Parts: sequence; structure tokens; C-alpha cells
Amino acid sequence: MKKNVRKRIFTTLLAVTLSWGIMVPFAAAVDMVAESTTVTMPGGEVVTMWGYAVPAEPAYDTAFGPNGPPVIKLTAGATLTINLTNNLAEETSIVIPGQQATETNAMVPTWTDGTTGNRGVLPANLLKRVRSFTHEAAAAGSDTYSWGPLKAGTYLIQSGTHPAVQVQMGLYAVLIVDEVADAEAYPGIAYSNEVTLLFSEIDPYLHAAVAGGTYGSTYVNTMQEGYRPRYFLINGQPYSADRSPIAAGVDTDTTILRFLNAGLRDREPIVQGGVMSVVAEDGNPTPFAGAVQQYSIDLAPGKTMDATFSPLAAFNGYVPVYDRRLGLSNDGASPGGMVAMLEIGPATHTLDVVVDPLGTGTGNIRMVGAPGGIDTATLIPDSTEDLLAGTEVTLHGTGAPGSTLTGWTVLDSGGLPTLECQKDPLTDPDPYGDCVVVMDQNKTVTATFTSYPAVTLIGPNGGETIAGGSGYTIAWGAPADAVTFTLGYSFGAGSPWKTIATGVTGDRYVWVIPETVPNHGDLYVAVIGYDATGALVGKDTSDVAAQRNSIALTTPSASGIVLSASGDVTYDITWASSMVSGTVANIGIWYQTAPGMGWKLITVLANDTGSYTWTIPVETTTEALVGVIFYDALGEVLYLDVSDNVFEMAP
Amino acid sequence: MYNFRNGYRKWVVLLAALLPLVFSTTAQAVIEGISGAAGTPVFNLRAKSGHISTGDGSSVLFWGYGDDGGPIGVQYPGPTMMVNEGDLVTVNLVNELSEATSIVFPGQEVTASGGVPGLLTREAPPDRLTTVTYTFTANQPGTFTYYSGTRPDLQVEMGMVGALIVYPATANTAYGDARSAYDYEYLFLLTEMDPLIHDQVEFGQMSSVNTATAKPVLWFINGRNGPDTLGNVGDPTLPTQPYNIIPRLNPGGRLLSRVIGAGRDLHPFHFHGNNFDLIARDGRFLESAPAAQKNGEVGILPDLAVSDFTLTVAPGATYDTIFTWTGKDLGWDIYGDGATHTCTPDINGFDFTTYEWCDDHNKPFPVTLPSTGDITPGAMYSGSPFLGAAGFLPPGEGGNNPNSGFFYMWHSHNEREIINFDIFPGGMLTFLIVEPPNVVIP
Repeated sequence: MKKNVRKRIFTTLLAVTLSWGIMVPFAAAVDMVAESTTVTMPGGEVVTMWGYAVPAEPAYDTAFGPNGPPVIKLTAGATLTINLTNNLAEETSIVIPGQQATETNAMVPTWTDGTTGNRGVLPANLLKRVRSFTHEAAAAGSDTYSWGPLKAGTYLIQSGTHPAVQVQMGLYAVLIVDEVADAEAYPGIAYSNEVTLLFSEIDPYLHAAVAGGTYGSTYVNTMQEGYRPRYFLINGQPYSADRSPIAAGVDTDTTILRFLNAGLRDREPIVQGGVMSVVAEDGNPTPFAGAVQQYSIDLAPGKTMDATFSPLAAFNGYVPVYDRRLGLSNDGASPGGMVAMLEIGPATHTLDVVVDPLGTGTGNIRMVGAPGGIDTATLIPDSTEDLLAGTEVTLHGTGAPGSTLTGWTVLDSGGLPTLECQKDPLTDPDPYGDCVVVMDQNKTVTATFTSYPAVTLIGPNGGETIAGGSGYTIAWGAPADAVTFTLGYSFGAGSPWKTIATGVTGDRYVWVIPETVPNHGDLYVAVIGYDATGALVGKDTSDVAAQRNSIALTTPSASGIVLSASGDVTYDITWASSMVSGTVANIGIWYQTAPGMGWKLITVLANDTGSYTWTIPVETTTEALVGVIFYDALGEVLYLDVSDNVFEMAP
Repeated sequence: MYNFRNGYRKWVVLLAALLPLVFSTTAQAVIEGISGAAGTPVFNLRAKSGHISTGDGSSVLFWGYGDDGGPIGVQYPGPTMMVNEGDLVTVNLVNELSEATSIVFPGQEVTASGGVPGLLTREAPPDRLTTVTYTFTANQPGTFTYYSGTRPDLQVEMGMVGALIVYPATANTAYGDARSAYDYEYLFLLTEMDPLIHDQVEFGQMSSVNTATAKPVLWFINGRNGPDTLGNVGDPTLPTQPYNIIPRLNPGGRLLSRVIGAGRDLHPFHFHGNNFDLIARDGRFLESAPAAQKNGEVGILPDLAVSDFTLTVAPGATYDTIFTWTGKDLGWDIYGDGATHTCTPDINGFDFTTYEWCDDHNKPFPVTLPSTGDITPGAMYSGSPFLGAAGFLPPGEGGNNPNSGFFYMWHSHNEREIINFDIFPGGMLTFLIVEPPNVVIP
């Protein structure tokens, strides 16, 4: 849950202030405005939306603001009047399926010729079609709609005019009618906490056609395209990193989850880690409510479903609710779409995220994974989030063009640094990667970004230990005009450069080092930056050799060694390894009497002992060699080293 | 030339004549899967990529779960985990894919450890090394599903789905008592694929992948397109698709179908031959109170069970149905000439052993059958309309119905889904076989 009160912004869906669950107790007469607005989707696409604003309510004083569509909450038996002002360029109206409209001309159709009432006299009446289910507020006009006495339940408020277009464009809102205010949803269905989850979709193509005046039968493209939603919303917002959890009470609460679908596709919300009891459908209580439980809800378009949910005793954490029909991306980008996190427990620990003002560069920090609520890149710097005690949070830093993340600092509630995210670039395979903090107290996380005027390799840059077979994150900095990069590696002077990857974007790349690369000693990495036209911007290589995970046979390796076998003489074969990963299954020690001759097994070791006492066999040769080979469980050679020089064996 | 089939058929006819003397043995039809140590099963899964063979003759890249160290390797769908009520279940996951992955178990209260925190659960990074561990107590019997909780819009599409079955202490019941008793049980895990997405992944065009516009053209039951659904379990030509689905029952038997919506779309799964009774959803029994019951056509059911012939299978949800077949009220004798067999009604009006509806005993078949020369028999026609009987067929005809059972197509009633990329028949399709009472169903 948000601690800070933030300015609302009209043009973005990224900034989310969730007051869902704390319903606005509107008066029984509500002034609503239907208007057009634009929203910016995660990823930057700007979409024209139509929506309802409630100017008197700051949380909903603009259409499709940060709070999403309005929620009107009343008690059974009351009367609702909506004074609708239409700021759209075409007629509109309001209907509430499931409630009784009371104005004298309620639910009298309006025809495409603008007339209302009965169809009229033949033959002219055959030419007109129904445009509205009820009386209209003309473009730039207004009208008044009333319902009552209201029936308990959860209902969609939506446009009754050209609904195939207007509802999809966003003309929907929520009506909640309690049996007993804030205590009983239906007769006998008590609750102590409430969460509303309004599902809907956006097909940007359709919105662009409507906004551009090209929607309709004369514009075949829209019809050919069909309905292909690419953004999937809960409470008017797609999931993104800065989407805060929804406060959902504490473990002893009975929460009523009110599901609504204002979209055009079936949805299948799943509450993960719990089960619900369906108590009502379309505002009608179900028989045997509470007897049967399920973790999924069938949520057809236009439908409302109410379910009660009780967390486990002593549960303190986040419960994801998401659409199992997989509306789980923002135009293909993951994570996104219809995901909401229910926050169960008191959010007592504040996480504050700061971009280091002393860093030479800049960038953004966002939360990846659960529970969400931090993204410094949105128009409103969203840098503070109150979280449950014990929450593990992963923060990801992305440098602005020309900047690269170069370090994290985590301060505890007393302002003292913790050891979190302090990674040793010499041993950590991803020293410039994500920062994971545990919210055992208030914490402040600072990310330092550094500006790089030239292409610069940050790591590996000397002295690192890199495990074969594992991933190592190569990091670099570059000026803003360098947009793609080629990465390569070499074993040192005279060794050819080999390509790791081309066309890489960003400032980090996870390189899985081939396990079977033989032991060449040191390792160098290079990065080459290109601009958008493909022209070279600059390049950099490791200043000092990075040391690969390796083994080195120490003895026998020097020249001039003579081994005599007379009288069971032993010799200590020794090697040094810088193994980091634990994939080695066996170590084989071999010798040969001359280069090219067959290798003879000395022994197989299960553990990397670093040495082996060899009882010298009887051989006569002046050019013997010893080899040490590390194998994985499948017998594949991981690393090997052979004596640098031949040695002499004599009886 | 000796006509082997006709000779065989004469034998079958002879056997049918002896039916009243033959007791049917209803052995339990089983679901294939993996199970672990009693009480504390541990499943070690490995996420990998592989290829499946589809009914249109194509080979499609998939991502899946495999039983680490098991004989099959990565498979589609993932291994069916079979545990007992009350078990403390541990699932370990190591990831050999190119991106992080995880497992979620809807309906279970899971504790996750290891790996890295993700959006829906803890995840295994794509390092082939890190183990993420999920543990839960299987405190409710029933049918459940598991799938990837990481980028599920793509990873579920890619094949990272599977079934979890929790058996109650009382054998041959789904939920612990006679209301969910069954003689046979089968799994129907329904999925679909858009191979375009799989091709884009295979060719490394990850930036082109947009699951929001997925358009499936392949439909599966238990990871196979029809008619591969009718192949053998562990068919060596389908190494990554080990599970088949051929539901069979004898008259009067109770067949439990464990149906899972594992893909992204809803599927209207249609049970031909009779209505089913839906007895559970999401692993929860449809009862208004403990032990509340009502009568089914055979045996008893929980009181909120719903009789229907098309099951709306929503993604992520699971359903258990009891299906029986007796031929009641067909208005003709299902075993043919009444002189060849007797019908001794039990209290419900069925014969004790053949489950014939005795009111219809010896009633004639209501139409005159065309002569053999006037028909084009299908491969599943026995040559006779009667159960366990067989008629003479032209050479080369029939042959897929050795027991002279009754075949009913069980399939998605969205008819577009019983094709394989435009080729009919295929897709989400298999056949129920009502076998004569003397046929032992293993």
C-alpha cells in the first residue's frame, strides 16, 4: 500500500494509486462525465480511452485516472441518480444490467434516426436500428438516470449506446450495493474486508480506429482485424513494476472479492494459494453459498461474480490473483496484464529507493517480481512502498542511455549501511545485477549509475574467477549513441578472438561459459559498440586478464625431472584448481610414455584433493607426461592440464 | 484361404451367447504418472526443451517438465504426480531452459524455497544448477493441475503444464466415499498450441513473440492430437508424449474422468453416449454438506452433482465427472436376440451381470439393417449393432474393434478443435469404448 500521497496524472496508466478496497461512499446522486482521454501503456503506447469521471471525487475526477473507473457504493433499498454530462463527440447513455431503472423514459430504445419509443410506421421503420438501449445524453449534452430501490450485489455501470464500441472504449464503472453497509454483501453473507477486481481489455487498433474516425463498415480494416486485445487491465491498469499491492486486510478477515468483466473475452481469475466460496453471480446469491469452494472463477464478459476469501490463520504475505486465460502480458511484454497482488497483513516496513545523486550517470530502478510498487521511471517518481515485514524484494537498475548501473547501497532504518547487495566483483558472477533486500526493517536502497563517455568494459576486468559451465554477467558502459554491441573472448596474445554474441543491446549480457573449453590459462573479454547505423563507436578489452575457472598441473611440470621406480618410489603429483561450481564428478590422473602414445590410467579420484601420491611404475622413457582431467557426471571432460615439460622415467 | 477374422468373430459370437455365464471383472483402469515415497513423496523435475510430433505430421518445439533421472525425460504434458491425501509433497525444480521458470500449484498452500523471488512464486534461474523447492501438504483429495508461474502467457503455451492427483485413503474413490466411487479412471488434460509462437522461440526470434495475439491451431488431450490419442502409452514413436487416452468401460461401470483445462482457452468437452455427472470442481467435492447424496444412474453421487453432456472446461480449473453407460431406455436389446441370453433384474431393473436394462430385453432392433454390400463400414464397426456380437464384414473392413464394443467419440464440441492444423479428424478427440461385460479392462 502506498504511503505517500501522490499527484494524479491523466496521461498514464503506469502511476497507480490503489484505493480499491476502500470504497468511496458516494452520495446517492452522482455527477458523472463521459469524456475522452489518453493513457500511456507500459512500453509507451498511447491509447485513446473513453471513460467516466466524477469531478466531485478527487480519486475519480478524471476519466481513466490512476484509480481507474469509478466505484459507487450504496446500500440496498437506496436510490441512485446519475447526472451524466457527455463530453464525447457522439451520443451516449448509462445502463446498469440487473438494477431497475426508474425514470419515466427508462430503457426506451433510441433509434439510429434519433427517434425514441416504438419503432413507428412501415415502411420507414425498417431502415432504422437500435442505437441505444435507453434515452441518450446528446454529444456535448447531458441527461439524468435513476435506479432503485437498489438490489444488493455487484454490478457493471456501462454505456447503453453503441455498446460494442463504447464499452470497449472504456465507458464502464462499478456499482456495489451492500445489504448492510460495509458488513454484509448479501443477506447472511458477512464480510470484514472488500476488494474489487474489474477486468477489461484494450485492443489499441480498435481504439485508434475510433479515435481516428475510421471505425465502421466503410472502413474494412477494422472489421478484418477483428478484436485482438493486447492490453489486459485490472481496475483500469495493466500490471507493471510500479503497480502496488492491493490492501486486503489481515488473516482474520473475511474478504469479499468482487469480480467484474467489462471486456469482451472470458477471463478465469485464479486466487493462488487459497480457495474461494462463490456467493453470488450477477448480483444473485448462489444456493449453498459457502458449501463449495474453488480457486478459479468463470468470468464471462459482462458478468459479475462475488466470492469470499479467508486467508490461512497467521498468514502474512501476498496472494496473487491473475487471469489463467493468460491475459498476462503488456502487448507481449512480461510480466504484465491481469495480475493483482492482495496484501494480507499490515504494511509496516517502508522501502525507499533513490537514484544516487552523486553518481555521474542516471537511470531507473524498478521492482521485479512480487509484490510490485516501485518504478522510478514513471512520470511520477514512484520510489516509496510500504511492505509487509519479511518481504523479499528484487530491485533492477537500468541505466539511461550513456549510463550504467555500477553499485548498490542499502541503508537500514538507522541510516547505517547493511551488507545487502555488496557484491565482490572478483567472485560474484553478477556483481552489477539485481539487488535483493529483505524488509526486516525500513530500508533505503540507493543505486549508483555512472556515465561512460567511451565504450568501457566494467567486468570482467581483471582478477575475476569465472566458473566454466556457469553464467557470468559481462557488464559494460557506453555513450548514448552506442546501441548494439558485439562481445568476444580470447585466451591472450596470439589467441584468436571468438565471438560470444552480436547485436546485444543494453549494458549487461549473461555469458554461459562453455564447460569444455580446454585450459588455456587466462581469459580476456572484449566489447565493441556500434551506433544505430552500424558504425563503430568504440571498443574496450579487459585491462587485466580475468582468470577462468581452471586447473594447473604443478608437478610434474618443470623441465629436468627424473623419476626412478626402483624400490617402490613414490612421487607426489600436485595440481591447483580454481573450481567454483560443483559439477565435477571424477578426477582422472593419467600418464603417457611419450607424446602421442596411449594414456595409461594412474587413478580416479572422487574429490579434488590437490595431490596424489603416485607409486612410480617401471618405465624407460625420456619424454613422459602426466595429465589431470576433471570429468562431470556424464564423463564429459570439463578441464584438463598436462605437464608443461616432458620428464624422464627410469627403473 | 483361412479367414482368421471370421474365425475369431465366430468365437466372439459364441462367447456372447454364453454371456450370462461370464462374470465381468472390473479391474481399475489406471492413469500413468509418477509417485514417490509413501507419506513424503519427492519429485525431482527438470525444465527442458524438446520436440513433440503433431497430428499434421509436424515437429514442434516445446518446453516441459521431465522426471529427473526417469526413463522418459522431458515430456508433454509434464509428469502426472500421483500422491496420497495427507502426503507432504516436495517438488524440486532445476531449469535447463533459456529463461527463468517455476511451478505453481493452484489449490495448494505451497512453501517455496531456493532460487530467486519471482512474481507468482520463487523461480529457478536458467543456470542448470539452482534447485528451487516447493513443498505442500496434500490435504484435499482430488484432481489438480500445476504449471509455470513464470511468464505463464508464454511458458504455458510452450507446454509447461501437468496434472497432480491426490488420492484419498479409500481406494477406488476420488473423494473418499461411495459418492465418488469408480471402476475406471482416466485423465483428460486439455491444451492447445499456436505453433507460430513455438517456431519463433525455436528460431530465437523472442522479440517477435506476442502471446496476446496467440491463435491456436493444434489441440491436445494428454499431450497428443487425435488420433494419436488412441495410440499406446509410451509409444516409442512419440517419445516426449507418453500419455494416451482411450476411455473404456463395461456396462454399469462407473468411469471417473479427471478433466483439466491446462491451456489458455475454454473447451466444451463433449461426452457422447450418455450424460455425465460433474461431482467436483477445482478438487472440491460438490456437496452441500458432508455425506449429502443423491442417486445416479448407477450408484450414488454428491447432492450438488450436475448432469450434463458437455463440460465447459475453463483454463486452470479441474473437473471430476462420473460417467456410466447402461443402454437404459434405448428401446431395444443391446445384446441382440433375447434368446441368446437372459435378463434377471436387480432392484433397479438391470441384469446382475450384464447390466442389461431388463425392460428392453428381447425388444427388436428398431430398424432393418442394410445388407453388408450396401454399407461402407468404418474401422470401428464390428459388423453388428449389438454389444459383444459381431457380423461378417467385407474383407479388409473393420478391424479396430476386436471386442465388438460400442464406440463413442469424446471430443471438444467446438468442432474447429477436432482438427490438426486444418486437417480433420484430429485435435481434441478420442473415443469411449463400451466393452462387452466379458471384456476385462486392465
